[in-house]
Amino acid sequence: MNYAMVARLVLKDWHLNRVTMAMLFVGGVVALGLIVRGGEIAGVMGLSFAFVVLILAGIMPPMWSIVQERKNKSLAFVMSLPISAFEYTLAKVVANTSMYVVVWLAIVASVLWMLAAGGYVGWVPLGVLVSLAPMAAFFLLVAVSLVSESEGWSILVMSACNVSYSFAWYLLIRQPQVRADATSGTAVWSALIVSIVAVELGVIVLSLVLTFYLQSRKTNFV
Amino acid sequence: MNGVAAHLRGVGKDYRYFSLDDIHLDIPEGHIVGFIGPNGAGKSTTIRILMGLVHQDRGEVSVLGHRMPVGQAAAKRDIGFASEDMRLYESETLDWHLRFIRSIYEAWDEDYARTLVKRFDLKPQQRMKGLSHGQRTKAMLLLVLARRPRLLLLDEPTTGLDPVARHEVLRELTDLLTHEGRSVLFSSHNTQDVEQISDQITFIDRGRIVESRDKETFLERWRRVRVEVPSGVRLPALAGVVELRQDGHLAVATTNAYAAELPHVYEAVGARVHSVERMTLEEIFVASVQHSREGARA
Repeated sequence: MNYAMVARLVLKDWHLNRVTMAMLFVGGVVALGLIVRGGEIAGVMGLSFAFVVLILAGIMPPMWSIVQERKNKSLAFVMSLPISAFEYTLAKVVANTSMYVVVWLAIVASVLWMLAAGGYVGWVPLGVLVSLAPMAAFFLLVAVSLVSESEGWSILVMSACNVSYSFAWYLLIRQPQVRADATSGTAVWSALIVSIVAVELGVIVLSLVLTFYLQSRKTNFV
Repeated sequence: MNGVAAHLRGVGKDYRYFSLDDIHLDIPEGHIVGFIGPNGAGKSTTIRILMGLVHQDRGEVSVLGHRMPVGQAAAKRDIGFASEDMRLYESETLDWHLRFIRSIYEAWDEDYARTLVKRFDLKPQQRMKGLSHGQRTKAMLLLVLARRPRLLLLDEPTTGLDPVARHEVLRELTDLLTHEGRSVLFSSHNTQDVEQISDQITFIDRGRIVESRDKETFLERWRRVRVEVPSGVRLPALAGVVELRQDGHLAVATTNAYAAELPHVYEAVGARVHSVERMTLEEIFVASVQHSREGARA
């Protein structure tokens, strides 16, 4: 395993995505600023905007660094470098995950801290559940874009995930117990919340395992 | 320089509408091998198999002593690969690409890189997005050549280049061989380019190697013989004559095994040999491919 080469490819993707990352950073700051400003409308707008930033952070780096690299015919250039297929896959997963996790952690940690500090600690389990959904979608998108190398399939997965959020939140918030727990003033990790969080983590792990497994079976890289 | 930089033995790859079949190919050290074939003949697939980017379904591939595709990471340290349909990062400058590649290859030759920047008339601060096709190709070749690879795999690098750019690129490739032990596989459907720089030539058509030998042998063995055939005279079928066309009293025999005796054989049966013509590589290629296709149909 050539870790130095993997590190160079990771840094290369960070460099190529620097504008995207800067935009996401600004978006995150604006979202958190709205929440800090206080007030119901600004708070809801801030939370919604923070969620939008999480979704965008899960879409833009994979689309730019994986799908567009293939579409712009730069993949052959990367694969002509002294790397194996596994090292390429590892570099892409590490680069995209690191870019996503930086944004995700900054926003989610800040929002959860603000919820807890603002006396909304009951919303924290729901906040964790909601914030893990775009992360699961991100890993799914990384898997599909790496394995299929198809812009069409990637857009389909991305769209399906985005559409499903509203539906999932609607079903979740209709549960009387979920609403009651959220407004209870203490963090209640109900069986339903834990089960959904487990499913989200399962999607993340499965996506990663399938990414490496299917990439190892691939016989055409450009 | 008697070694072999790369070889393929019985290599095959199956796609839904195309198969590469039973490919045997040697790239001797210190030689430029011209790889000629029509569009869709299998040139790119063969080169990508050599790079480990496409995995063969059968057969054995060895590049610089590494078995492919498992040894691709080590082999690619000493391979320079450029393809007509390969692109650099459009948002980045040539300078960024130079620094990126320099950080990877220990053998990077900074002086040679600077020389090539000037010789190719490139601007390091210019983004790839603003470059013409010719400039992009030269930038790609610069990144490949300055790392001083032992083996160069070039997939149609001169396609779409203007005559001046083509000349510059071909001159660099020829100069490259002044460095002992460097080998080149150069694919093209432009036979002029291949004829100009190659010393070994391989024809590929419909996924199969049609012919493979050194350039001089190709040019020596292929001849077109124009013959006047009087009434009542019938030209004999000779081994090595791949095509015999007759229109009235004039016949044209194309042979891939020319020997000085051939005109005498025709004259011995009463025919009159008008001329024995050398063929260009393009004519040889077309005749060879047609002969191979007729053989496949028969």
